[in-house]
Formats: sequence, structure tokens, C-alpha cells
Amino acid sequence: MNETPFAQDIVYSLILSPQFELDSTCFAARQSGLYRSTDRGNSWQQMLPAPTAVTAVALSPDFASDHTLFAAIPGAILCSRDGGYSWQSSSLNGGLLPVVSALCVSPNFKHDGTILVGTVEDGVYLSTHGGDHFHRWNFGLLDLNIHSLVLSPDFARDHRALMGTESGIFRSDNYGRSWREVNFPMLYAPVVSLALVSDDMWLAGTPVGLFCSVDKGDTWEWVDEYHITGPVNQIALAANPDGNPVLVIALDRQLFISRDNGRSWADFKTSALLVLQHDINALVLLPGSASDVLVLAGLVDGTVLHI
Amino acid sequence: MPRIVLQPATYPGLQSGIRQLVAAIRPTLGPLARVVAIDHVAGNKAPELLDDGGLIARRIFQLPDRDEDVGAMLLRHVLWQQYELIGDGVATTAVLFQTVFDQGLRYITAGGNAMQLRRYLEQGLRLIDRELAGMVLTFEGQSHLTQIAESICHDPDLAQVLGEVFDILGEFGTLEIQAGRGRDVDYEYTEGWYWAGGAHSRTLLQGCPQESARLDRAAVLVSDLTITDPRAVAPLVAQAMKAELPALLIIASEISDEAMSVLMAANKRSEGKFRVMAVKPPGTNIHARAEALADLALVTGGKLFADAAGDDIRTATLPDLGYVRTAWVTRHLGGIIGGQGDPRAIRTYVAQLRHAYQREKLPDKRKKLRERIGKFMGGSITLRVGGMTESEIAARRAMAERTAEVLRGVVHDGVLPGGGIALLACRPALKDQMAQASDPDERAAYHILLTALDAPLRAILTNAGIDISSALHQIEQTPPGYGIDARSAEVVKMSEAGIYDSARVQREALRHAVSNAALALTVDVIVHRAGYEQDATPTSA
Repeated sequence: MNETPFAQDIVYSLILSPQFELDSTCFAARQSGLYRSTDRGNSWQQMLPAPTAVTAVALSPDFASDHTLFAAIPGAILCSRDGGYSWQSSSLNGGLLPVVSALCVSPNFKHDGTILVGTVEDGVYLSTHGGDHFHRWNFGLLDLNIHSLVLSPDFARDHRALMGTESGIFRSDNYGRSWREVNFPMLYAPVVSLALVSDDMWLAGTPVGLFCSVDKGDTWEWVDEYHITGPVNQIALAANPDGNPVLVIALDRQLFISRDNGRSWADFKTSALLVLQHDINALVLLPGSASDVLVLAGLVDGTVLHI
Repeated sequence: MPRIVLQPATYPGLQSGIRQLVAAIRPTLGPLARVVAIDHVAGNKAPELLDDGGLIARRIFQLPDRDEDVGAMLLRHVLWQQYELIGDGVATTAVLFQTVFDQGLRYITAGGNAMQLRRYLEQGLRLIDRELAGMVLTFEGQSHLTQIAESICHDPDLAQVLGEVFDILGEFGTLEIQAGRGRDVDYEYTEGWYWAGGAHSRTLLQGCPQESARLDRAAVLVSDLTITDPRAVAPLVAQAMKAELPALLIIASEISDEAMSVLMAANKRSEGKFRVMAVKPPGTNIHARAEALADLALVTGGKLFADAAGDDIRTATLPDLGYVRTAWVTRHLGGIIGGQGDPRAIRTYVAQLRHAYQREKLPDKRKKLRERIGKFMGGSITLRVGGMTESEIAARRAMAERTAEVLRGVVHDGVLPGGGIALLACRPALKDQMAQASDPDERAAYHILLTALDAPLRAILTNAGIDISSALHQIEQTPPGYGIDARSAEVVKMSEAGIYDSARVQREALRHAVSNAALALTVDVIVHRAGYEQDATPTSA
């Protein structure tokens, strides 16, 4: 495993360039700032002029051509259109300094300019102008404490977003302009991670385990409850041209993998994780073969590991 | 002069009165509706031109012939119920009612049993309603809502905005419709809760831009207390300042000048580090206020200090306060954004309100429950409807309110294929039932309903100037779901052409029409009271 020299620094999120296999570029949002790697996560460079907590990062789906990315700092979203060398700031809300917990750029960003921002106490902010300005838009949201946010891969058609909150899950089917409750049992909330595996199949990570719905959120089942026990902090999935997508979930110091659409889960990289000193807080799957899945993990002490 | 009318004289009068009223409303059915001119009671004013079946029915409140008047008023009451409760479908109700009544009358005068017929008509109604329920499509998305809105209001600009608005609001969101100043229709979204009340004293708003105070990260005391003694409020303010809270909002019914001076002194002393505001509570009567304050306490996570419970502000401590991300106060309004109450408790409570709403039958109580649920939705929309003249603005605004009510029903109850096709599609099930029936009254009831089911379609085609026989023949040759687009006179698949009807409107129109027509068929005696003034011509308001 390779570690970075930056310690005492929480990794909030990791993201790969859409063309990672060509440019080997990825970004890490950390307590000390925004970092970029151009060598598959082996070394990192600070991209902001001064140390600032960056709690989320997201790239335009056309990053290879438009070099646009967004980084969340307390009270604002920074936008760079040159790969991270220069930045403009869009304020979220004057005096309150909302803390961003999730940041998502529309898969259809080129046409709809949509960005959704989830915050810890202030609900959702929405931009439909490419990030030039954001409006708080919480209609239907009975719970403003957002832990996780995902957009449908088919957002251009179904306009769907899912949000994990302190009390459960909310969904929007109109670009985030309004929200309604999903029938997730409040007993198992908060929902700290989410994934839309397919149109019907949704995964939700909670402090007690992993839940799955195969009917768009109408009913939920506890997945492998005697095996996967503990907080499911991250869910990562990677397309597999040969079949079902590869799914990896991260508990504090455990990883589980599924290659059959979430029906069964196996311990993953167990021996490699034995030496972990800190919990996993961020996770991405590196492109590769389905039989040899490589993971880039960000820990709560600021290190980023290849596993 | 009082009079008793017995059979066989009862029915002709009723039937004639019903026919006259329906004749005045039938032209308004469909997308190519005609207009009805209503004479003004006094003066030389131009007649009122209406294409709204409910308003037309409302304007006709007396017929010269007493027997006919009974029939007309009986139907008028049914139509007004449909209009008030549902907001649309009056003309459909009228033509269905008339067909069932006329056909039923024919059967009864030929020797049929009216009470048995009524029973089987109700039975057939339930069958048709089940068939309609099976056809309901759940409708979502702005474009679909706009289509439905346009089919009701026939105003593309208004429909476009209403579609957008209801795509956000859903069934429960709070919508206020006001007259606009210009010609356009637009809307404004207001975040959070707000209520009419405002600051207790303008002095507290001194120095605030446009007399509007904004408090970020505010603690909130939720109460309906009357605070007269300055020593009652001083400890709470001192606690808040000591804890270095940025702001405190006190919601109270009344605050005396002496108590107010404590608040003003605290603001002055803190030099901008702390701000306290006092605002009047929501609610126009005791009951509404109690509910609104209870809801506010929940959404902010605070304790409600209620005068009726004997609570005293002297006992208030910091853990009793609620918290919000922002509170704002103007001279006339107060509001909060981002209540910090327990989201689980809030969601559970809203679910209870929704459940109560589903079970509630009374329109006024349903509306109040809906408004309470709407408050929790996190915002409200104000729609401003403009026009060229004041009367156009008023008419457009009234249409917007009606359309909004129907759209709420669409969001909740879905839609049916429009143009009268949904009712036609119920015929096979009714025919099957009729084939199995042996009782002549039962068979007669189903036959009557079969005849009634195409009455709305016939009226739509007539109003559009389309030949009924050839149109019906064309429809019979097509698969289910196809009908006539009255605008183009072409056979189309209704769902692809975007021709829908609100499921709630159609089902309630059917229910009102058939149930009440069946009841009207059992009328055997008319009793006229004294004081009826006869006139040579039909009377309208």
C-alpha cells in the first residue's frame, strides 16, 4: 500500500477523472484542502492557495474537455474551469456558512448545468446555471440534515436524485426542485451512504448495516445482517462490461464486495486491511478487471491508500 | 299558495326542470365549449358570459313553474356540491344525471319499481367505479400536469405556470393565488414558515433595512403567553446572552411596554452580538393558534408554553427553547427557516396528519389539515395572475383557483383517459353483469347506466359540431384507449394525444350524478310551500 505524506487530515471524499485510465487523475477533498494526483493517487498536490477544509469535490462529466470541477468549503462552492489552477467562489448563504456533506454534478451537466449540494443542517442547495449561483431549495424536505446524495446515472431522462438524511431517505424526480419521503424504516437511519445500482435497485448504508431495495424504495431488506454488521460509510460501484457492476462497501475497517448485483457479499482485501490504523472515510474503485478490483481509500487521518 | 303534487303529475315537472337546467349547462362540456349569457338582475349592464357549469347553475335559482323549479333546484344542489367539493366536472355530472333520470323515469312509468331500481343503480355505480379505479394512471411530471391544467382552464400561459408550480408543490404544498399587476402569470417561492402577525413593536425593527429583521441561528420561545411583567422575561434574556446565543425570537400574544423595554435594553447592551425580537403568534382563533404553535414547537424542537396550560415564561430555560437557522420579522409577518426539531418526530407527526387528512370527509377540515401539512413542506408559493383588465384578472384568478384544486386531486388520485373514453371503457363489464342478472329491475338499471355512459362523449361531440353517429362508429372500430380529439375531429390514442381527465373529478361526477338521480327517481310527492312568487320568464341571479 502507498501512503501520502499528509497526516492529521481527514479525507472527506475521493473522485476519479472520468478518463482516469488515460490521465491517471484523481482528486481528494480533505480537511487541509483540495489535492490532485496525476499518477493514480501515488502523490498529491495542494490545489488551493491556502489551507481550507474542503468537504466534498465533484467533477464535470466532461472534465477531459471542459476541465471543470467543484469543491465545497464552508459556506461556498468553489469552481475551477482549468483543472484546479484557478477558482471562483459562489456563496451558499451569507452569514450561516453551511457545511457541505455531499456534492453532485449532473451527468447531463453540459445541457442542464445542474449541481446539487447537500449540507449538514441547511438541506439542499441547487444550481441550474453551471454553479454560478446557488439557491436553497428544500421543498418537501422534512429533514435538513443530509449525509449522502446521489444522482441517477440516467438523470437526463428520469431527473432522479436520492438523499440520505438523519431520519431516512428522500427522493426527487424533478431535478431536485422538490423532495418526498421514501419508505425507508426510520429505525435504521441515518442513511450515510447511497448508491443507485440500477433503475429499480437502490442500496443504502446505515450505522447498523446495508439495506437494499429492488422496487424503487417501496420496500427495503437488510442485506446479510449477520455478516455485514456496522456502519456502511461508503458504497462504490464500477461498471463491468462483462456483466454485473462491481459493488464495494466500506465499513470502518472492513471492505465487502459483490459481483452479483448485491445478492451476495464477500469479505474483501481482509489481510490488507488488518494493518489499518484508522477508519475508511472515502472510497473509489480504480478501473481494472472485475476479477482484480483495486480500491483507493481515504482514511480519517488523511492518508490515501491503494488497496 | 301551498300545494301537494301527487303522481302522475310529479315526474313531468321534475323532468322538465332538470332538462332546462341541463340544457343551460350542457354547451359548456368539452374543449370547444359554448358560452352562456346570464342576464343581470338590475340595470343596463352587459350580460355575464360564462362557460363554467358550476357558476351557471349557481346563477339559476328559480324557474317560473313550481314543479319544474323543484326538479331544477334538486339538480342545482347536486351540481353545486360537485363544484364546491371537487371544483370541476359539473357539466359531466349534469348530463349523466339527466340521462339516468330520463331513462329511469321511462322504466318506472312502464311499471318498474323505483326503490329496486335505485338499489341496482347504486350497485351498478360501484361496478363502474371499480372499473374506473383500474384505469387510473398516476400522473407526475411538469408536462403532464400542464396538459391537465390546460384541459381545465384552456389558458396556455396559466396552465404552464400551474404545471410548474404543482410539480414542486405536490398535493399538500401551500399555494396562495393573488391578483397580479401586469398581464403575465408568475410565481414566487418563499422558503420556510411564515405567518401574519409581525413584530410587537416597530421600535424593535429600528435600524433594520426595510423594517425587516433577520436573525441567524436563533433560539425560539414558542408561546401564546401574555407577558406584562419585565421581571418575567429578563431571566430568559439573560440566560440567552450568557450562553452567547446569537439571537432569540420570542413568540407571544402580548408583551407590555415595560417588558418590551427589557428586550430593547438587551439589544442595545449587546452591541450587535446578540439580538432579541418579539413577534405575534400565528392563528386567527384560539383553536387555529393552538395547532399552529404546537406545530411550530415541533419543527423548532422547543417546548410550547401555553397560557391554557398555566405555563409561565419565568420557568423557561435554554433547553425549552427551539432553534432555527434563520428567523425573520417584519411589521406584519413573522417567519422561520430551517427548524432544528427532531426530524424523526416531525416525519412521524406529518404522517399522522396525512392519515387524518385521508380519513377526513368534511371539506373545511380537509383543507385545514392540508394547510397544516403544507407548512411542514418547507416553503410556499405565491402565484400572481395578471390580465388586461380588472375583470379579466378576477376571472383568471378564479380559474386558477379552480384549476389548482383539480391539480391537487390529480397529484393525489391520478388521471383517466379523457374525452369520455374512460366511461365508455366500463361498458363491457356492465354488459357482463347485465347478462348474468335475472331480475328485470336489475337488468333495467344496468341498461340505464349503459345508456348514460356515453352521454358525456355525445355532449362533447355535439358541442364540437361533430357527427355523433359516425364518431361513435369510428371509436367502436378502434382498440381500447382510442377516442375522438374534439379539437381536430380525429381519432387518436388519448394518452398519446395528452387528453386526460382528472380521475377524482370523473369518479365524483359519476357518483354524484347516479346516486342523486337514483334518489330523485324515488320522489313520489312534491309539497309546495307558501310564498313562491311566479314570474312569466325563467329567473337568474
